Amino acid sequence: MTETRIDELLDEHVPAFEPRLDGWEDVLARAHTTRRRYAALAVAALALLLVPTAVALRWQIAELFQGTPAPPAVSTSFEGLNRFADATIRAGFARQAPHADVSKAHGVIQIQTADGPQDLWAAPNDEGGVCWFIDFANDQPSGNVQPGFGACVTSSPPAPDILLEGPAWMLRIRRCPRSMGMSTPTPRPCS
Amino acid sequence: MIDDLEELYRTQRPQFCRAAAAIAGDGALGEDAVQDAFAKAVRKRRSYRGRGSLESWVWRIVVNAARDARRKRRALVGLRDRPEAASPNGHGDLLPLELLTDRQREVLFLHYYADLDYATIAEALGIRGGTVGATLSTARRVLRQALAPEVKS
Repeated sequence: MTETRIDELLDEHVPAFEPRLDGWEDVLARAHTTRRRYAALAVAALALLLVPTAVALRWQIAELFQGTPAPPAVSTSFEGLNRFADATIRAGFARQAPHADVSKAHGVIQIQTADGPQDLWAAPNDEGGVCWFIDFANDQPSGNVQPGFGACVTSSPPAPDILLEGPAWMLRIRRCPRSMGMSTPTPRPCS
Repeated sequence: MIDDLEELYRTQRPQFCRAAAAIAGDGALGEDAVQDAFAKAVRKRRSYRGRGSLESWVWRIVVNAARDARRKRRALVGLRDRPEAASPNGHGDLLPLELLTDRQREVLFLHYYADLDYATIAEALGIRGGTVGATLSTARRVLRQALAPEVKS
């Protein structure tokens, strides 16, 4: 009798689950998202590592922004960073915050990950530093905005003439051509 | 191997979710833990060495994810001292699970909700096969003794 009662209570404790039709697709999406998050963090860490190096070596802004001009969707994302800076000041969280010079947004590096190329874009800001933005090159813009994330610092990243290839944990560095002018047809940092 | 994982997911998802919900102490958290655990299995599939069955390997990941969910839930709702105060069915219940140790609960859940054999339970929990039977027997005895007055009345 008691054994039967235990089974009844166990049944009540956790009701049975129904099959879920889209469950496996959600599993794959989660696996994909987490891997992308690691790749994005790797690029962010790399950017943060390179910024102080650039400052220490006194790379110049003029040389820094010779890379491919940012496409409209990336420029819009930088404008979003500026709006965020304005909102931060208005909300009283900061007395001042750097604003990107969107017209000078250019590619810095591109990293090949298992999920495709990941780009780091940069633009000088009005506090003598740099705003940067990271996206997945193969992602389609959502509206006029490129999905990704960015931030501003008050120092400068390195020259834009390096391309990092291979999985994020095995980077191979090679030189990119320096002559990437405004007429470059492919709007990617080193394509 | 990803096909094997998909097959395992599609055929046994309700059992995974039910056991994970019991361990996590919450139905939604358990379901979420299963999704995360399978996502982790997909990412880490190359680390499966073939020692033990794929099913046991996945169960181990699911159990760990459910334990994590349980810890987070405790931290969120401040139930550290009353871990069984809430029930996955959302109503509270009469099952005196607070009388069991964590291991006894997990063995009971995996046996009852997922219908796993002792060997798979042992691999999933990282304990010896002989321990499973004894632990399960003890857990049911504790529950039986606790419920005896209720049944008599």
